[in-house]
Amino acid sequence: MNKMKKKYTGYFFILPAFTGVMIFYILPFFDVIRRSFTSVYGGGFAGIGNYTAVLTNGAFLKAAANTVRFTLLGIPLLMALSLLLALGLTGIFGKYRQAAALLKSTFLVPMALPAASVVLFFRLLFHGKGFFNAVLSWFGFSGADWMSGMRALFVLIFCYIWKNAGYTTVLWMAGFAGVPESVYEAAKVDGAGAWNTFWHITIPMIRPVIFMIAMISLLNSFQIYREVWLLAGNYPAEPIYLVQHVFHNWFLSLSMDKIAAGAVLLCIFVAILIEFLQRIWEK
Amino acid sequence: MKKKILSAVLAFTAMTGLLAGCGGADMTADSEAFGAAIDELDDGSGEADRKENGSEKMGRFLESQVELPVEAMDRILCLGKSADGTIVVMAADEGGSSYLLTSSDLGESWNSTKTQIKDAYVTSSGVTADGGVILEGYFEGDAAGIKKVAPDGTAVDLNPQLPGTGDDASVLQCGTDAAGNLYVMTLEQNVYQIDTDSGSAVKLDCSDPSAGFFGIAGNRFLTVTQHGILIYNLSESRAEDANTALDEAIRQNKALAAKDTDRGYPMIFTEGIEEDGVVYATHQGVFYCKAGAGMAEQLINGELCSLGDTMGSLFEIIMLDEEHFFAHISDSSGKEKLLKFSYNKTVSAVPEKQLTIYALEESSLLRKAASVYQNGNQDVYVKIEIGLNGVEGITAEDAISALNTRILAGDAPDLFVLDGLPVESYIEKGVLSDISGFVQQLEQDGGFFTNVSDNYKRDGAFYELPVCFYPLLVQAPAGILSQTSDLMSFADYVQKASDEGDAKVLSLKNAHMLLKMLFLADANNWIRDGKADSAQLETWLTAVKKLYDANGEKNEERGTWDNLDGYLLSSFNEGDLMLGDAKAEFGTVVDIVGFVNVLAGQEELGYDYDVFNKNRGNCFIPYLSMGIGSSTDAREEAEAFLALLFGDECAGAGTGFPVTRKGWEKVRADGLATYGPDSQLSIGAGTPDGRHYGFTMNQFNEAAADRLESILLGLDVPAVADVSVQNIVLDAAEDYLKGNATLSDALSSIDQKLTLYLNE
Repeated sequence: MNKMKKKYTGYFFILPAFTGVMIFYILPFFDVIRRSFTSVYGGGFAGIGNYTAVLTNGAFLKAAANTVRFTLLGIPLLMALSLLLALGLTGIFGKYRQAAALLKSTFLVPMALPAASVVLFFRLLFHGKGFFNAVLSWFGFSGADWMSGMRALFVLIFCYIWKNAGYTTVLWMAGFAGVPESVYEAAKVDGAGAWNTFWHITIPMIRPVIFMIAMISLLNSFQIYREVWLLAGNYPAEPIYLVQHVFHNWFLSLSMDKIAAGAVLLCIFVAILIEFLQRIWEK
Repeated sequence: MKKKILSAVLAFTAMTGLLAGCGGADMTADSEAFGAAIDELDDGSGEADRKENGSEKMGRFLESQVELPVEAMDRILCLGKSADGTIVVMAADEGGSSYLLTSSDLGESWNSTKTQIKDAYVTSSGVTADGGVILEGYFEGDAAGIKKVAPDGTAVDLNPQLPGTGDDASVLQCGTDAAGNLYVMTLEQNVYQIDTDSGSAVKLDCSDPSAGFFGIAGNRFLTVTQHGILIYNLSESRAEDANTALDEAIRQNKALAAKDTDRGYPMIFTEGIEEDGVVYATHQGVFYCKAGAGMAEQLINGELCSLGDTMGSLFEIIMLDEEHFFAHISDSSGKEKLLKFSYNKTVSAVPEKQLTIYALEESSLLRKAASVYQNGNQDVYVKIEIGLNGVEGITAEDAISALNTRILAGDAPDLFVLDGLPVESYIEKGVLSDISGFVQQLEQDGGFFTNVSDNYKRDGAFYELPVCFYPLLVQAPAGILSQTSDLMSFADYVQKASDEGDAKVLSLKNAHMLLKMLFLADANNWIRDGKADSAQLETWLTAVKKLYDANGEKNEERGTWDNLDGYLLSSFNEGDLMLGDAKAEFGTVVDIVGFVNVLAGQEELGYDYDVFNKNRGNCFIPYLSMGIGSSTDAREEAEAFLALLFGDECAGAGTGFPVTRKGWEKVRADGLATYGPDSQLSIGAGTPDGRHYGFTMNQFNEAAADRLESILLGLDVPAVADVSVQNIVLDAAEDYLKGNATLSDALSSIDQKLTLYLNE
């Protein structure tokens, strides 16, 4: 009896969370899969018609390409920049641990700020008569329309990095802290320099952390849509027209069938991407 | 293996979390909007009201209109009850004669006495204890004053000896209490009790500088202010404690304290059956407030009766007993009625059948139709849901998202007002049903302006049809219009005149309004299936810029009020032409009054008028495009409602000219009767700098009616109604107009975004 108790105790602990996930994530997702094979109104079976419609839809393909481009540019930039920040801060604050702890907390502020306030701030920065154009004019350059053309992509990446850099830096620093001090001391005794220590000790030892940072950055890249939408509306400049814009606009035109098919396709794409990254990592 | 399965489950959970996360982030606003919509749905008429303890809740006040024995009745001057409980009504006929009517059998029969009052315009009134009335307003010869009419019809002047001077000597409103004593409020918001024999005045201690008006409920004098309602006990000459329920009503809706018309009130009062009770009526219904109660109890739901016609006015209400109310109101067309509300305990508290009508924006025509339909079908609850219902922060997009969520959840409305909604998508997805049968019925019953209705036929079927439509007209000095029959040539004319130093060429319009009107007038030429013709779009932007620049920096002077889309509904501004502040004007003309203004410009100034941008297609703007939901289980009721909406009774009550021929004939006939050559109606207006203009509104003769009809018959292209396309074009164009973007930037932005929209 006691053995049985021990065996199932853990399941009872995870039951509330598992129930919530089932109700709010898993079951709705199965409903999304179901809807992807039916028509919007009346629910008649549509075969793979919705998938065909999505895969031949110019707007979806354009948005998907934009999303991939943004992800490929944004994630490496974010990871590199936050790594540099983490390295610098670890070095500087190695001696001032209390200040480091305080600074770590402030890094998380951008994630806690309401999207509407953040967007207001970005508007002030990127408006035709905003901060960036003012700075440019001080140096004798003419201002630019930051929300049009490829400049809008820069704004998008800027927003993404601004919002996530602090959090990612904290993750890097946590990873660094997990490497035992004794390993560094042994490397020092063996005459390893800073670069060698970083490349041959730190990086291999925090490999799982790097993978986790990459995944979190990927997930966070989807969340930046809220700010972009508030900043530029349903139809922004083409380079920042993301898949979420398509989903949002499809909802307004009641194209739930296409949204469902698009969501399933996106899910499959992300699953393949994660699997691909994991395999590369394992090698 | 176990590990792999666990990893797969976790990865799947993460992915679905990711997708849900994406959706969750951008749907926040929608959820809020949807929440507001749900609150609205639950408001007073939900299932909870229908069922009580598992059984249906029974009993409801039913409305009927009381026919008064006055031939060709024009208006009701007074409603009240005498000390013995007799209903007293004073009504006037179209000839200006007035009659004192009394009934002691709940309005079943009436005694009528002709009075000495003639051509009275009464702004407030009261009934005396003996069954006479006191009227305050304007009488023969436009003399302002107060008259007392005895039960035998004889009238005498009352000359209150108000002690004040200036505004304090002028009466704003009068009323009588249960004992028939007269009270007046002056323009300085002081309240006096007047002796009706001597005229002497005694000031009461219930004045408030923020008072908008007052009501009397039995022996209580109720001063309505923005902060709440002050209660003064007239029999005990003392102020009473505040009534929380009354104050709460004002707190929730400040508009109830603002009287913005010379006749009628936003809130009217009568005494309750219990000693300390007060009954009040608003457009939301009739409510009972007991002293000490925190909330008012709703006795009659405004949505289920004529009180809900928000474009109408409320004048007086009396309660005869627990089961009978009488109310004097006017509907949205200004027609005055005496309504009787009788309690019927055998009918369900809320009608069993419900007809839900969804509209993005408020419409007086829709309200009127609902009110009329409700009266004729008291077993059906007509529920009008307005997407943009004034809740702060709700945008059209939020409202559409909330509506789509409901549709997907299987809770689609029975009837749709499709203005501003994604019609094509709804038709494609099967949300709307074919209404060809109904259209055919109307066709047999007098027919349509087929030049308009044929535009709504898709593959032989009708899924929508507008109730009304209206044109954009242009007016300019004789000879000009023949040379400026398209937008570009008109813009060239305006620019040339402006360049030659004429600062007053075009009536002032800000960028938003200018763009919106010119988009409606011309977009059908360069937008086909959501794709813009770049060359024609460039021409349009150039023309718009010329028109905008012709007024220089004055463009935005009009301030914020004409940013309201409602302004578009009657945007032809004759005043600027009459005052010489403009030499040309264009705008929407939505009714006969608007057209008479144009005719006055023709008569007074010798200016020509025509359809604006005529050479580029005769464009019309549809109003109240109706469609029936395919999932409705109240199709019969929906069609009956549409028949009423498209019928004679509602013709001329809304924005635009009826699409049915019969409706148009009625509007034409009414127009000839009201604004024909025999009309004595006149209009005048002035400016703050002392200039003024005026004219008699009698130009709508047969020839003018024929000309308007030929204009309406010539309109054959609906304006581009796709809101997404409109927003994309207008946003970029406004940047160009205001100098925030170059022409090529604006063109490129529009082209790029429209391509995305089309591809979606």
